[in-house]
Amino acid sequence: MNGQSSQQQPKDGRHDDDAALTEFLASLMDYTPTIPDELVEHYLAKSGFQCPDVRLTRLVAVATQKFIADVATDALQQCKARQSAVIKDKRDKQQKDKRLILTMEDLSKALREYGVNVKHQEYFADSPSAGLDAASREE
Amino acid sequence: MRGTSLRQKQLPPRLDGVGPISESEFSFTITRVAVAQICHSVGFYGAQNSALEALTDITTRYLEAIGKLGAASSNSDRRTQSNLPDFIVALEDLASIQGFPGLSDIRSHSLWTSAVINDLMKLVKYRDEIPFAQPLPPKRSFVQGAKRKLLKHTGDNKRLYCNGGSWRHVPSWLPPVPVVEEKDKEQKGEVKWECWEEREEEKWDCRRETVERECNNENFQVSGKRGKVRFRMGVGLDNKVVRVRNLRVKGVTAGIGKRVNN
Repeated sequence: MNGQSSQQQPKDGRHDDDAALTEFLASLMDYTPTIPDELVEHYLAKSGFQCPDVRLTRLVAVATQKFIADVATDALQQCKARQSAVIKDKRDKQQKDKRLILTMEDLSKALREYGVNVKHQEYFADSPSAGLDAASREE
Repeated sequence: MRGTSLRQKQLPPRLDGVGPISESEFSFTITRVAVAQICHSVGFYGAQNSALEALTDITTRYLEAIGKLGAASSNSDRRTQSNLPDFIVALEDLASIQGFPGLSDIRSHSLWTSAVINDLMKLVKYRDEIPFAQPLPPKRSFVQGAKRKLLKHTGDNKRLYCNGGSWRHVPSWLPPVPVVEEKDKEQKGEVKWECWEEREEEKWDCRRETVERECNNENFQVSGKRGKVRFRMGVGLDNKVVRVRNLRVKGVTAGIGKRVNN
């Protein structure tokens, strides 16, 4: 009896997993990911992935969205940690600098954990006013 | 301003401002907007242009990596179309850098219980959906993509250039694919099951008749005259190796069991 019950357990578990997966795939029909379907289809077709199922396309979109959100969350933590260290020195600029902005520095630190090595210049003039902030601080 | 506001949703113009936007630039721009939306949902107020472009580039590469790994998985199973297990395998491969529960016994467990899929389920269930900022424009043709269809070569041979549509992954420098002409087009259309069985039976009867006719034919002989083959066998003293020399072969269809002279 014990042997039978132990054999039945994984079967039931698998059945539950299948049911959950089927339900999840069905729920994708109503879900709209941030990355549009056409865009995902374009990149998948470019790399040779052929699948007419819309649900799978949306699943790819959801997976990509999750990856980017994870990276962005890590970069946000880096940004917050950096700002908390800087603000100790100058409390008057606390309000101005509180806005969280995605920078190359934080992004490269966050991406290092995901196996992406970003090499960027130590100083990169992103916009004409990129260096003005530092110059005003020195004064 | 140090960064670009993420709320700026209008598509940026082409950097050089010359000529129409190409397909890759167009898709990159749309991805950029989607990535900016995701960053905004995470809690960022703005982003440096370079950082946003780097993240967009990683997004496109991630999408292509999923596609390539999934296609490789399906091709190794002798399929052209990919399915859910292929996608799960691709995703597990990509997630193996960070690690996930159950990575140590990867492939041995059922794919349906994969932790990667469970994470996606939780994301869909608990996170609010953020639809894309603007409705996408209808499908448009690009200047470079004017040939983006299976083009029929108008020359001497019927050949297809596959550099567009769902054949986008085939490089354009490859030679054209020859057209496979289907001999019996009747089978291509829908045929009733009973009719199809009858037709198959007729074909079998025809084949059987021809085989029987050939076997009963008394004049049935092997066509063509067989040539003569001569060999000389001896021991080569120089290299102490037994040599077999083929002296002369007459005719092309020299067979085994013919006369051999020492």
